[in-house]
Amino acid sequence: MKIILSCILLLVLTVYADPVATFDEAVRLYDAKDFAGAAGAFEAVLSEGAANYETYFNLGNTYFRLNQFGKAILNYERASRYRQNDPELRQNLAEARRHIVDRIEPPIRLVIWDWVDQFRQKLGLFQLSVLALILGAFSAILVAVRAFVAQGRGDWLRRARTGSIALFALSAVWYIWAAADFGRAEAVVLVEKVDVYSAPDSGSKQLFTLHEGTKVAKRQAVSGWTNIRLVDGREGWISASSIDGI
Amino acid sequence: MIRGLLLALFAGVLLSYAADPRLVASVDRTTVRVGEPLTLTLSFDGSSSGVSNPALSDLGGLQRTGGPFTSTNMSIVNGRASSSITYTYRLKALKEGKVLIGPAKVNYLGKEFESQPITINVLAAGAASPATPGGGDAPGTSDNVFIRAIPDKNEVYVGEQVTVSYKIFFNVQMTNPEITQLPRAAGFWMEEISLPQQLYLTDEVINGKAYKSAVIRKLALFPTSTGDLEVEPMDVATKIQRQANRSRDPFDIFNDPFFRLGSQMEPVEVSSPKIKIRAKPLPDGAPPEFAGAVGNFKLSATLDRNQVGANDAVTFVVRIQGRGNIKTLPEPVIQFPQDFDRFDPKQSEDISRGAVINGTKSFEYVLIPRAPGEQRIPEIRYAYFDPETDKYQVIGAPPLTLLVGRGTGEGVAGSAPSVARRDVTSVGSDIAYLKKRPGSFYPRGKAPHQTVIFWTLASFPWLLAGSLLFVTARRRRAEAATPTLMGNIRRALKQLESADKHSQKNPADALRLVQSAVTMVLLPPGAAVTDMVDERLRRFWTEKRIEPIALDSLIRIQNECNLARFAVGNFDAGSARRLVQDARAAISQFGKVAEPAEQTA
Repeated sequence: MKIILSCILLLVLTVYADPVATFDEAVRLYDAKDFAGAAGAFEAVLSEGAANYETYFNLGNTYFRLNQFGKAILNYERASRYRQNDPELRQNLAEARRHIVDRIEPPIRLVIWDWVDQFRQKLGLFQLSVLALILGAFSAILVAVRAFVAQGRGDWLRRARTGSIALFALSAVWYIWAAADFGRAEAVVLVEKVDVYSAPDSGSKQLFTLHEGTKVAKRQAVSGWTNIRLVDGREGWISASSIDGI
Repeated sequence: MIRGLLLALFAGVLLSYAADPRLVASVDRTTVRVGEPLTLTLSFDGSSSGVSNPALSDLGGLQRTGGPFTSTNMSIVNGRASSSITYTYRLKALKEGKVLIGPAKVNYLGKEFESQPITINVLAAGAASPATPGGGDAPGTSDNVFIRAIPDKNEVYVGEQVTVSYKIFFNVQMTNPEITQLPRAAGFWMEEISLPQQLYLTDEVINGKAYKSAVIRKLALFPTSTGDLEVEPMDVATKIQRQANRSRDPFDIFNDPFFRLGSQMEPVEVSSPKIKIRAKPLPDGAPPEFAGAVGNFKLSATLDRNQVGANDAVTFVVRIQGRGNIKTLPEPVIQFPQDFDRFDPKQSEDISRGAVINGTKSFEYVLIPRAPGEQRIPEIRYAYFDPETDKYQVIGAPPLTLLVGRGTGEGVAGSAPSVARRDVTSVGSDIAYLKKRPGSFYPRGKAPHQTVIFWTLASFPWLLAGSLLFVTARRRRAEAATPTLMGNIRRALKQLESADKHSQKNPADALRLVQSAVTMVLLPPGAAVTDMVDERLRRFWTEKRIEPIALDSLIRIQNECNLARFAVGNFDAGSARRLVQDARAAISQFGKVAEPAEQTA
């Protein structure tokens, strides 16, 4: 048992040992005001296949300093997939959005949903996954204990088992909710200006124009074109190369 | 004799002229080029007073740029006085072609006098004119006097100084030149460079002729826009001595040195040529502090005090000193602390107009600290472009610290000193700083449930629990299938529980159950019921190292049961219950003894 666990731990550590060094190097370059170099190093962390909140957050900062506000917003949005309740992230996103052109009014929403969101965003997806795993393991242990106790004894044990399984189910539902958010197909416009058409064809009717930094929802894709939807519900086809998925 | 006669005759003619007033118009030359000046002289012979100002008629394509300048002349010839008045106008040719100066009119004693018209031939601006000597270098001048405009550079950066010297050349006697029109220079900021009061004359030879020359004006020009800029001509009026060969009248007998004592000084107007200066834009790469200063500067900043009470004024002076266009130096950008009330600075310049314009510009700020504490005036940074090295330079002054005391309050007697409260206003916003330490890394773009490790960790406890339950259940089943001693004891105890329930209503059933339970325990595994003989049982259990006492009580109950079965009618609920209790005690006792024995076996 211990051997298996330490094997898993070792595997995890060896896969992700290098990103930390690259990450530290990128932070050093940022502090030395070499923002282009820092951006390259943070991108290198990601290209190694590893990712986390801090890397995306810092990459957003770096692109902000390079005045590439579209990429800054893209990376802040990616960071928010990992953790949403960081006030610093909200501050930086707001700061970056001051530099973008498009203003799209989101539809009116009941305040209670904001509260619900605020509550459920208290835990990030990865924290939730750990919570669900712990509760799952605890429930399993309580179930297993039954094997050693004669029937008809220990009411408290039964109650603990039921409670634990209920909590585990709750955390699983919460996790699934968060995972749906994590997998949302969204993208950010990265070019200064791009036209949106009524069909995947630049000869079709132009519907509206978007600018760098605007967030859109991706719906479907055909070769070179993506169907997008704005927060206010408008839809259209946009050249796939002008956006990048969050 | 003949000479005397001629003299008399000419004197008569002259006198008759004098007696008969007339208005004569003349020009200094009849051929000019466009843009060149021309002098029109109207002479009224006959009287110097009572003459109305002349009314000029149509001037054609000529523009009046100056005049009339009036001069009177009085002469006494043969005892008779004659006087004349001369009006001089400065004109300028505007367009090419023949131009007619129409007759001018004056009114004298109620009579009107008219001058004769004059035709002027105006040539194109660049054309060579027979009237103009010296080639194209000095247009618009007579042979005897002309002006040149000499820039020190033809190509400068925007804001860089170009010095233009205006030099007058002359080879006749000349009065002090008087500048009638300073050059207009659109696209330039102009500063005059101071010259000594006295003209400094030098000898020069131009085109083989000896001239005297003097710099009469020096201008420092600072281009304010880029491109090819033009400096318009400068006009100068002076008087030169009339030349013998320029007499209007071939019979003028006064053109004799003897008669020149009256000094016929002829007014002339000369113009400098237009000059062109190319202003280059400043190179790229200006630092962010750059606001347009060009030259070479030093900056200093001073506070008049280091300590001050709150609400007391303190003076902060920034001085920028150096070469360049001092007057237009932009104000440095200073981020004063918010706790200061500041007023717009008082700007003053101290400019020395030597060959290169230089001096000091001061920005004097009055600051009133509103809150006590150590206040810091941050570093001042100021950038300028140095045209000599073609580089931008950043200069600055270090930060200054001002210690603000509590102050004495704002004066109402008896009131406690207080500071004015203000909202804290943000002066800027920025993104939050980096995350220095990375948290744990995850596979990029994958939610936890999309990884193998997640499912491994999630399923592991359940697999463990499942296998545990499975193993236990199987062991129980196996126990039930192949009876062991402990299993038999467990089942016997269970059976006694139900026997206890039956004991009240149905003592016979209870009896049967007790007997079977006891048999279950006593009968060795694998043995048949026929082996239920005391000797065999005793031998068997003794081999298993079971103490005889435990066995004895079981055998006693077994016998009691056998006896009771023959007299079921006497077996009531009370005896059934006692039997069950005895059996339970005996089996429990047997189990306690048997368990260690079985384990060693």
